[in-house]
Amino acid sequence: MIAQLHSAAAQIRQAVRAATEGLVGREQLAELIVLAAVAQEHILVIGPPGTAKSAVVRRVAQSMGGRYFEYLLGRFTEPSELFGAVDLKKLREGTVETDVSGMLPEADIVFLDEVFLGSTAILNTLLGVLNERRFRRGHTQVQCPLRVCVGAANGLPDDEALAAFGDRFLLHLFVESVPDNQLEAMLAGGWQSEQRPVQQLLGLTQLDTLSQAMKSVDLGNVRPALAQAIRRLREAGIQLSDRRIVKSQRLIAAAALLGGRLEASEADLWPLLYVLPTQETQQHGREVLRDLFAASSNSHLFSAVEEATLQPMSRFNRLLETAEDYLARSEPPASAVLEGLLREIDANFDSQTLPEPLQQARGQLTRLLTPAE
Amino acid sequence: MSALAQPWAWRSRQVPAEPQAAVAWGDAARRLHRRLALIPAEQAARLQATANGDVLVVTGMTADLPWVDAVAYAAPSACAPGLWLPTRWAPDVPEDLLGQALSARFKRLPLLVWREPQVVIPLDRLQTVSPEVLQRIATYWGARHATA
Repeated sequence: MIAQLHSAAAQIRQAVRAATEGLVGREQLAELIVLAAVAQEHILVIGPPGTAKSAVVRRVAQSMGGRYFEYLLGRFTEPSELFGAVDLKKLREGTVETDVSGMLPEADIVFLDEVFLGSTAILNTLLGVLNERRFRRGHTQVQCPLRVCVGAANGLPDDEALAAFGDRFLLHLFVESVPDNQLEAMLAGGWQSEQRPVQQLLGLTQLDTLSQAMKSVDLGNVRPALAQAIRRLREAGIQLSDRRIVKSQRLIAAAALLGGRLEASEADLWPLLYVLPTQETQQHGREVLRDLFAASSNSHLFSAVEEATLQPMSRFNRLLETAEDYLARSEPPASAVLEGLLREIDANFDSQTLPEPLQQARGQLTRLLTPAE
Repeated sequence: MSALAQPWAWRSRQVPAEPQAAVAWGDAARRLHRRLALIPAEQAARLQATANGDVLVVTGMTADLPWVDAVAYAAPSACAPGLWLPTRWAPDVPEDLLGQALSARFKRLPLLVWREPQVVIPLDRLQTVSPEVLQRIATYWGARHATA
């Protein structure tokens, strides 16, 4: 069982890498989509337009295989544009059925841009699909294969009814435009990723292997720490609904599985940060939970853990993986790229704090560089 | 470290700052100097340098900063303009107060406060990196070496 988990988690990691190649600063989103898919939950991405949200979701979907459905909602979007038109043949026979072929109810991975612009009819039908994986409309009742729905919006809605809909997305991720110092990398990477199609590296079976193992994950050891974290958040004035608190356990279990373990520990607490609904509560929560997050790490979801916890050990995993990737290449990357990685290693660790595997990789990278003297 | 009336100490940062200066001492300073001589002119034009005895400090955007073995990095304090600190270390006293105390004492700004060795380096005479500036630094070091 454990070997199977390890293999599925490692293959998913490869797929995340392939999907985000060239998309600067978007690994976190790809990793959280995977986390949500394993937990059978949904993710809401909030950020300005043009921040490569749809590109990442599309590429993750391509690398995982499965049926993908994407739609940009507007105020005048009709339910039939998402769920399918009325089946006219059946209508003549006197029943109102929807022809869902190729539409959202049949998709494994769904991306809905500007999700809060959907009409009440659309959002109500979506609730059933998101919560119960069941599409109901007229006489049509279909069990949906949906693994994960990614919703995107420019901001969180003020309207209470819409906010309640937004609350059904357990993970909230706030994305920003790429920072100034990464603009060159974004331009080069964006150019490359447009030229290169994503290979399908997985079937949905790896995802299903992990999802099915969810019920076997032992959360006994992590519950006291989770309760402690919730108490700390409440003391700091950050309230979470009981539903979100209970459901956060699914993400913690999924994080353990993606780390190749059937027993969750304090290392898997970090997804709790993404359960906090607003950007302010996430920023505040990161400070409040800093010491509880100290043990956080994941051997396959580096960026998501690093961003949640800002801990050096999660940064270590990402730096080590990048170093190993550079060292494994038959043609090493350009000196400027190697120097960039060495600069980041040295800015984060000194000889006393540098973990042994990274120290070795650093030595090898140094030798790859043509000596300046 | 207690250059001021109130003693204070360094604590390691949970979240290292984004490097905006490369700082090299001794042999590493010589290596950094040689590395600077090899970088493209357009990149050099985005960097500024100052040398002070045994240390070479190069400031610029993170992506432009050179790397050599044993180089360390620094960044300006987020809450004390004019106070530069190592990326991995922070003072255990409020940075704005430390910045004010140091600027009153040293009368120059900005100041780079270093942990090992414990020194304060003024950064008010940074010059854009060019072959001439590098030559002047080499000559300065050579003269110091000859008189040492």
